[in-house]
Amino acid sequence: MIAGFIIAYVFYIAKPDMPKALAERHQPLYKFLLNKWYFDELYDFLFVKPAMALGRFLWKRGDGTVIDGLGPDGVASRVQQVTGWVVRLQSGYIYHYAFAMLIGVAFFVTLAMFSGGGVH
Amino acid sequence: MNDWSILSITTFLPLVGVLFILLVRGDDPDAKTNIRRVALITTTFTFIVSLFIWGGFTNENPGFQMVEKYDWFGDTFTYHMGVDGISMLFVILTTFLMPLCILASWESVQDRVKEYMIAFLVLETLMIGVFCALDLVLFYVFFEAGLIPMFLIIGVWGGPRRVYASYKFFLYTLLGSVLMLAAIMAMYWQAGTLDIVELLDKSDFPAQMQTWLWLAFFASFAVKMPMWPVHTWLPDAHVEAPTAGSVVLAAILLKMGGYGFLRFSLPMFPIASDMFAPLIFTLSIVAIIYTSLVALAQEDIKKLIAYSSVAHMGFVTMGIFSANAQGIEGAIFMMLAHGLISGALFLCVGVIYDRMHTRQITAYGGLVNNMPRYAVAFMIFTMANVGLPGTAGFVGEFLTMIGVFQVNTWVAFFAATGVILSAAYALFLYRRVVFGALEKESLKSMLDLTGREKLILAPLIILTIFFGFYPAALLDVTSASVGALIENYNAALEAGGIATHAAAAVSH
Amino acid sequence: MNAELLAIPDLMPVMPEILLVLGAMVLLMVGAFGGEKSTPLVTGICVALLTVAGLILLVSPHYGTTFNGAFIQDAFSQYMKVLVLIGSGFAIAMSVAYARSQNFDRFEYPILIVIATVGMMLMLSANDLISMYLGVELQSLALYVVASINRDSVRSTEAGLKYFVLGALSSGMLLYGMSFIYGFTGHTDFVGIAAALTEERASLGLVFGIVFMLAGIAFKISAVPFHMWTPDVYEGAPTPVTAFFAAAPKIAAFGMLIRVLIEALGDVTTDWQQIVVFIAIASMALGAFAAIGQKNIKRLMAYSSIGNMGYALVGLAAGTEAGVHGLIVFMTAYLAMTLGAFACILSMRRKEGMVEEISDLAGLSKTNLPMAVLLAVIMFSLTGLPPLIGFFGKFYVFIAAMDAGLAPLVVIGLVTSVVAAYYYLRVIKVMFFDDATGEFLPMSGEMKIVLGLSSAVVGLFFIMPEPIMNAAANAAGVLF
Repeated sequence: MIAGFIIAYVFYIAKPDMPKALAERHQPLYKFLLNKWYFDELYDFLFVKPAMALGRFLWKRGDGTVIDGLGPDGVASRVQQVTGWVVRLQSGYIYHYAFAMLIGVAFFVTLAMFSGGGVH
Repeated sequence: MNDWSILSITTFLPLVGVLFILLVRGDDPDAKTNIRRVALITTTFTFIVSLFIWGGFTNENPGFQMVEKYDWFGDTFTYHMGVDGISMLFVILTTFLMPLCILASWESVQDRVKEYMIAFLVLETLMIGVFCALDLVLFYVFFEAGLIPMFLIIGVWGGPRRVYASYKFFLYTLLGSVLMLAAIMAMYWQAGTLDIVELLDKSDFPAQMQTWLWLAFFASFAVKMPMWPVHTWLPDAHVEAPTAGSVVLAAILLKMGGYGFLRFSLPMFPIASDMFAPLIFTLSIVAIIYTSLVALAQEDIKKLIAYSSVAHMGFVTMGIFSANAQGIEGAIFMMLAHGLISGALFLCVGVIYDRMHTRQITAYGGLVNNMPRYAVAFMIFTMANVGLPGTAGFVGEFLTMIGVFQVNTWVAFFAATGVILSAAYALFLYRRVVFGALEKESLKSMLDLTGREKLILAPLIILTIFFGFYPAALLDVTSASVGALIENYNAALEAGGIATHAAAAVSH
Repeated sequence: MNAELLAIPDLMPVMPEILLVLGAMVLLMVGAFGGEKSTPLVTGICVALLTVAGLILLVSPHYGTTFNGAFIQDAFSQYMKVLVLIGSGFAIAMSVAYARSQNFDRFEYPILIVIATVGMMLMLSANDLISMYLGVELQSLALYVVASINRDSVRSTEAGLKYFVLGALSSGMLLYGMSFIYGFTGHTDFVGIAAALTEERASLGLVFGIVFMLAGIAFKISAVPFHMWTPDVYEGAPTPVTAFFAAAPKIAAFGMLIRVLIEALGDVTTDWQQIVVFIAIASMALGAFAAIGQKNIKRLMAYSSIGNMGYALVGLAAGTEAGVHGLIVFMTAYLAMTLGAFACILSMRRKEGMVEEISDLAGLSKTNLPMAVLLAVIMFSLTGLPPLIGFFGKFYVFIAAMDAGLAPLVVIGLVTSVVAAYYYLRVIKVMFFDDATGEFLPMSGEMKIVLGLSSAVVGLFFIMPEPIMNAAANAAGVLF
């Protein structure tokens, strides 16, 4: 404490221009101390930037691309696709329609035959 | 007190307001003011009536109180209402927030005021009904019907991407709910009843079936909650919804998920709950850390708060499935506190949105200079959101972490890192909006809180701090019911465990 | 033998049908001699006839069998006939305003509907394969004509022709299936068939018969894959005809299907259950997926009705009393929703004429709020949202299927209903979220009544469900 008192006395009262000279002589050291050992920058680099980057990544890629892409948006566009196929079945030709009915009957007959229906 | 059907009155009182609103003719400013007044009076009156529920409530009674039961659909399901320590406070929360929502929409909604107020009043009825229903189908009716007014609120009065947001909200929630409906049907044939009280008493579904039922209910509540990874509808819905819609969504609708877990999943499917608890813990932790990080990177204020809601709900699910007194009471407390705080935060956003019509964080800065009162209010809620001791936000977070610490220390550890992240994003937001130099010209003319806005925020500030210092006001209400719930849960687990041991012994 | 043939059968159970037939014949004379200007009179009397027939059924029904057991009147047929009569009566009423504005004055139209209705009532009361086929044909022949009633329109005649050709094919299948059943059981009456089915499983020939008969009836209820005519006919036919097609004939065919499967073939449930499950899944899925791409609201309703028939089949697949009960509730809901929706579609009228694109509804909530709200209620009900009637219809159908051990079917059904929700929501979105493009002319009085009544049933059913629920339970009870 006494040392501090003496240094303070020298720097601010006895020789006020000495700190400036000192600072100029030890420029890097001065900057280092002035910027609080660059702790803010270090933290910014170590924690804040990565956290922000990770956050942005999780938001855009995680939420946006993966979760929404596979989830709601993906399902919605699959549904649209299926709709596209299904709607194309509706051709407007009677013979297509009749054919669909006959295929249906044939399918159900087969189904009923093989699924255990029909003890002879 | 029980003989005047107070629950039904509270539930359906808002519909009386709807009738009055329908009587208002015309579309001129006077008519609009009248409509707003009717809505405000109705919701305020409903709140006052609902206080009688609290007044008549016996804290020591763990069972259902103020029960009403009438025949409805023959022998399939009945009109059965009642509240216990778990549900009662949610009713009060709902009725308390609704007048504030109406006030918040006083000036910001000028288009189709009549329909807007009707939608909100109907929504209030349905939300109260969810928390009072003691029949599974009745619960489902209220739970699901709430989609209709919310869909319209987002879609009609929402922002530019409202159509996408409303569809996403509706279909997502509906998909979850129909699976729950399938489970309800299966429960009917297994248990022979859909009465919640009877189901809680029996709750002896076979373990295999419990797994399926639990998953089906989980599908519904996890979406509603929302839990990661089915949360993506929430930020969209929040951003697009009008302020009051966001408030209702964050403060009440999300709580239905947590309430559902407490009311159904935990007590009715204890074995499955025990089995799936690690899954819940994992998802909760992911939600807490993941969404906190995402919140950090947001550029839109509402979206940031929306993501923070998801993170906070992670604490709730974690607390619920820790299945001990601290965890569950903490979860309930957290839901109530979050109802106040997130609601208040959205109201705060609404205040500056009404003035600037943008929610971009970069559009703001230095508001402390010309809006000091706003800065104070916003700070209190930001701190409460972070979980600063002395605010309501702290108690819930702390209790849930104590609760989960007894079950799994790692989960508690990761949850704690989430607390740090929540401080980061909340303070970061506050710094960018409120502090800094007041440079933007457009901001300089912004006025501080109006009388109406003070009226909205003041009760929220008081309650946030009051419950922070005196959490017993809420915890006393919940403790008896939670105690009974845990007792039954442990008993069921023991019985299940013995049964499985016995089965193992037989098979050897 | 001779005495039996000469004896006059008990006509009391057939009273409503006789009344309608006689009335139709008289009206045909009136129309033929009175010409086009007698149309309003004929229309009015037709509605009155249907009302009286409905009242007879409601007030003093005569239960029992007659015509040597070929015709049965019981609580089930009574309930379903009332639904059919409501559907037909409202369909005629709704055509009045359309006829006024679209030059659609043809006195044959209401008479044909009355005749088709008689056919439907016969279908519902059929207790014998022969009477069943007679009912089907009486109904179908009238419907073929009705589908192409607007003979100056290419689309209408095309629709009628398609329906006729495919309908003939389906009738052939139906008859073919019936002949198999007769061949392998030796009976045409349902009681006899049921008595002959003493074995656990049906013989192969009988299974063939069942499949063909199911295919024939599935065509009538437009279930996949026998649905192909539906969208084209719905779109092509004049809108009042579509409204009629969507409601009453579906209910009648469903009632007939229930009776033949439960009464005659109830002992071989396993043999038809699987087919019904398949048809149900296909219908629900196709109804949900195909409707999404539609722009025309009549086409949308066509796919919607295909999907709804799928849900109804879920109840039938259960094959239990609870299933039939759910199905009856569901059909009641379906009738109310369909009539309400078509009352709105028929009110989509501008100065230039009728419009039928979904986008024409844009901004309806600003130009005509009551109509927008009621149509939205109906759409939400079709989605299956509580507390509207559509929810309870689906609930009872699915809960029965759940009990019958068809849990996967239930889950599929519920998931398709979410997909279907998308397009019902789109109608609401267009009405409420979009900006108005133009105004419709005011709704006519008849439409207001139909829309008001049906949306009251849809929206307020939950307040007083007892009458419908009990009547449906009663109707389902007589079949078991």
